[in-house]
Amino acid sequence: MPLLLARIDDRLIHGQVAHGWGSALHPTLLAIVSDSLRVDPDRANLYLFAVPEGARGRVVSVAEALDPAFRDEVEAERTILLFAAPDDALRLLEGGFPLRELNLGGLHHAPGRREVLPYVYLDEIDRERLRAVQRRGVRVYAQDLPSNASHAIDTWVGEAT
Amino acid sequence: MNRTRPVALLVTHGVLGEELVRTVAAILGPQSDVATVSNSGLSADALTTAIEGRLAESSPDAPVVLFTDLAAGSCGIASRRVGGEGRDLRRITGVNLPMLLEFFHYRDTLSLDELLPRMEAKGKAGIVIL
Repeated sequence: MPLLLARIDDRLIHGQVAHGWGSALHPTLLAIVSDSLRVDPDRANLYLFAVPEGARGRVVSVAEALDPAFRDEVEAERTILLFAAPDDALRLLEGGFPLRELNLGGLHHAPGRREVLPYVYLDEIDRERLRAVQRRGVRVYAQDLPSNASHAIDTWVGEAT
Repeated sequence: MNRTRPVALLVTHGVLGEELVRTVAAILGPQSDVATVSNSGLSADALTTAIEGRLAESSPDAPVVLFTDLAAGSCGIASRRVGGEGRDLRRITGVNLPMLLEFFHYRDTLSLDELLPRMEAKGKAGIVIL
């Protein structure tokens, strides 16, 4: 089974992911790719608590996610991959992990970030990283829920080339 | 499934019902066939009339699930006074977000006989001492 969804969302596993996307996609594996959460099991468990029925959750580092065994696991399951920020997704791509699309589902307000959608705020570093993701041939689109509109991000981040 | 989609009618104190519906939309996306009644400023009789008015707005074929917040409050009491007028009318109290999410997930795929007990279970299971 190909990857169901790869999503950048600073809330990681929460209502929109567990219920909104979960009820549309019926995932069996929710995998968070995050070096910082991988070494902070207490904080990781807060997110794993929210994994919906019928699925299991796990947290892997970028290096672990690049292990071929992890890719096999992703393909053996109905998988949603989650990143807290563009950085983790970009590093996974740079390591050779194949992503065709990347959903921008939630990057909320922080100092220096400007609103482009109610659930997407970007600063120049985010923009540069998203451009770099697109340069690798990945289609990046903003969409909070499966039933809501999808937006191309080109006008916010500039051309990829 | 060839049957009329059940309508949700939330009868609550203040703006609780409206906010619950808004929050469901933020989690699942916008929902149709849902209405709210607030008890604000209404006597017991007026609240009952307001619920009946809302019921009359939906198709008489449509089953309705009446959600209330407190069994022993004006909303719970008024909802029990309302008659179904021949329509399939179910009542559940103690409305919370897990219960509502279960309803909106499954109202098109499960019968209300199957769904109501699941909503009760989900609502209760959502209360956990952390």
